[in-house]
Amino acid sequence: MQQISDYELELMKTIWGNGGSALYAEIVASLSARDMHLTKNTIITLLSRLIDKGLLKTNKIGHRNRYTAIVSADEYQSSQTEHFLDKVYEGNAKGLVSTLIQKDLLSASDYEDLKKHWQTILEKAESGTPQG
Amino acid sequence: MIPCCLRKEHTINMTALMKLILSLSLSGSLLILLLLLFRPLYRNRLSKSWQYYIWIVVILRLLLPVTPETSLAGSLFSLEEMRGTDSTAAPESPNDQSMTAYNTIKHEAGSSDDLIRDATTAENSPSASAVSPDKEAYNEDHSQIFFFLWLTGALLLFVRKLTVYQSFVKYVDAGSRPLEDIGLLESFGHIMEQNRIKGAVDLYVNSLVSSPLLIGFLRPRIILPHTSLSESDFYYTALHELTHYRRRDMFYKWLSQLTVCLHWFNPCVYLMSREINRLCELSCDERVIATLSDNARKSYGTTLVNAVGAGGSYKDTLASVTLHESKELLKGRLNAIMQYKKCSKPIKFITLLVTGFLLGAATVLGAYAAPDSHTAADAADAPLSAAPSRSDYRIECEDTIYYIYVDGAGEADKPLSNVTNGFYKLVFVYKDRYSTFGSFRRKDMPNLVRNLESQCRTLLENGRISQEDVELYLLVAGDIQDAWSSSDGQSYSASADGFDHPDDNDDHNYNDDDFDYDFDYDYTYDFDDDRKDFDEYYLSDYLENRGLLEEYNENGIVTVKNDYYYQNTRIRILMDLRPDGSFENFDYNDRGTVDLRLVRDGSNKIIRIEYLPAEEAAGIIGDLYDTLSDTAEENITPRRSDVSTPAPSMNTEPAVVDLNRLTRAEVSDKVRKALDTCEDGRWYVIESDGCQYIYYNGLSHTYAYEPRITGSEKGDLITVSIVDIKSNSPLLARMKSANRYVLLAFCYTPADADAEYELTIEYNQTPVTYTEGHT
Repeated sequence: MQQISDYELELMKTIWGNGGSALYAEIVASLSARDMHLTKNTIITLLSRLIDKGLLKTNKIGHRNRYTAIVSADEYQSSQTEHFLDKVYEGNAKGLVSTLIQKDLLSASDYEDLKKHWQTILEKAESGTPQG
Repeated sequence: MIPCCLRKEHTINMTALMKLILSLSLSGSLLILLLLLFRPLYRNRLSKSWQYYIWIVVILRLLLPVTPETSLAGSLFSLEEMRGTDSTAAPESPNDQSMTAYNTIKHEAGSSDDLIRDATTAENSPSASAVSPDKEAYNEDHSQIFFFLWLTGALLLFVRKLTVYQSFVKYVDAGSRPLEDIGLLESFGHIMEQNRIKGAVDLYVNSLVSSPLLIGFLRPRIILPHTSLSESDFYYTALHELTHYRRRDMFYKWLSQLTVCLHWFNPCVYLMSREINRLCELSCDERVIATLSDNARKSYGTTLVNAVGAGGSYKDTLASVTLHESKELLKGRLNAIMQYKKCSKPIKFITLLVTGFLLGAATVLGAYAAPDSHTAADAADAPLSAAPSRSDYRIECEDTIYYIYVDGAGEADKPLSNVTNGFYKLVFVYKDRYSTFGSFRRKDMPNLVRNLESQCRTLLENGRISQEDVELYLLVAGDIQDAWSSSDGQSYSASADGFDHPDDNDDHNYNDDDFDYDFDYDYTYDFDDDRKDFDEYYLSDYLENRGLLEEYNENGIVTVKNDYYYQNTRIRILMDLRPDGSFENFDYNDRGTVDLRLVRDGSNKIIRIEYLPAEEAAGIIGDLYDTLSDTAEENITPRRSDVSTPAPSMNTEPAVVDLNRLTRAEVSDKVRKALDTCEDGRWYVIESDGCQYIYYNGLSHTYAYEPRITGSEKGDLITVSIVDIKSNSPLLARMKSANRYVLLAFCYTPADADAEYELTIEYNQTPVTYTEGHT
């Protein structure tokens, strides 16, 4: 996945926040709700760059374009995390987690939650294996 | 023969097309020169925008083939055309002359003999041969070459421009990165909003481009060499490029490039293209500074200077819109910026006046309009507006032929013979030529105008007749049609001609003619088209249409894959004869074993099926193979001279016609020598040692033929009818490919030895004209 600029990410967030697709007017409304006022040319330009990068697609509804996210927020986050992990920790997830814990970015209760979550994933995986 | 015909049609169009292109180029060039010549007068007085956009008038003149009725270029090219046809009026394509129902022939005394002699001498002296070839065809060949040269040049140039542009765009895009700086993007967005520029324009940075430029048709984008621009530089740069974008200058540039491609052979268009490119920048500057203060104008000039040398070396002067192109141009632009003054009212008025003048000039210059630009509707309406006066022509009816004497032509100018077989015809007789239209059936006559019009249309398109001719033809046809609708079809009858008048009460009189090969589909007047239809016309379809197969079935003859079977035996020869001896159908199949003759009664019902006697069958096959043609055996063509229409001369002693099919090997050396001088696709009658040889090169040897004698006061009228035999038999197919000519020896002994006779040749029911010659 190609890297996107801050403002492009802002636009993606408004679209994700709008249920994965939005009209230009909806994007403008949601941006101004967050006190971001961009010119039309900037918004359209950034949107078309996002289309080029493969994060959005458009389909015309009458004369208006509806922008739909091809990549969901989760997919974007995980791919960005992988990218970050590769870039900074050279793929070493343990290092990332220890940094998170050391810097108190991950609280003890969060950590317990994650452990439980991990356990259930493992159990599911074991019971699901025979079916393949 | 068919490809030849197609080629001819195309070249006619090409001639017209080439004339059109040349006339457009000429008109456009005059406009270009006019504008360039008077440039010193207007360059500093009229607005740059006007100077820029006035070229649209020139481009439209160069591209659009619209023209007023009379225009300079149009009349110039038509004049050339008239001069061309004057000298080439006599020679027609031999094919068309002989084979179509329409003929324009010069028939001066002995001219046909001369033609043969000409052809003979041409063989000996190569220089003489330059006179005899059809000059029109010669011109057409040339225009064909020119057409392809032009097309190739235009395409090559266009493809080159396109690929150069595409690779430029590709290189620029490859080295570009999107401008991420939201501050710059936003100020750019604000510039667009301030200037109310709609649409979306992206911003990219590419350090390789020599100066800011705007590219992309679908997704326009401005490429900046770098982002370290001062605020004012960025502002003016953006404004300049956005002005290009707003004015759609790229489309204008490509339009001018397209014009250059189409008129690549014209040096003037390159001057035009250069002027447009120069003025594109000047007028863009003018537009930008129109709203600026004096100080701002100076800043704008500074931006232009700063842009020089700021970037890399990528440059495309072809179709992208750059901020600067050359130092000279930049100097001119800077001067223009500082000298800028708003247009005063009088200047605006003068601008309007000059524009009007140029529009008028563009219209008057016009273009060459091919004759086919006149629609059929024009032709139909024309007689009302420009009706030739009634005194210009005189109509006489002989038999089923209407002779219309035009421009004082008289009986002496009439074609020598015209046999119609019961079909109706219109012969327009001029002093030096005549035009024949037909054949029309009785049932066509009430719609004669419409029928004639369709025949005229193609001739008009081919440039063989003029619009005035058509007007006259349709006027006459209207008269005759009127006479028919008042059920007085023969009102122009001269009736002192000794011809039998057709029986008006008999709707099928042409069917009773003794040798009818009317296939019940419309013959068009164009022979070559007939041939095509004929070849494509599938045998079984044709028979089915006539209900023949069904009739055969009832009589125990079945068809399997185009082969006929009788009592489970394949039929070799199938002769289906009408009571008068003419063929209803004929088929030969060399895989068959039985030979049959079907005999029909007066109501054309099959009454008897009989086996052919062996010797008769052998005669037919021999004739087909052309090995026994010199013997006195029966031809496949029934001899009809004994039952033809009773004629006065028949009362004494029956005349004898001896008609035989020959191959070239069978004739004497001097006849063969004469045949060698004959052109292809043209009928000849060559006299040698008391015998006449009918010859046509370019037709299948598998024809049927029949002589027919009718009497007239002038003497015997002999019609030799030649008809293509259609058959799917492989033998005939082989024969078709083996010999492709008609050669008949024709010897006639009139009942009265001193009597004169006249010979008419018909091919597939249509009388053809032939050239006479002798050895």
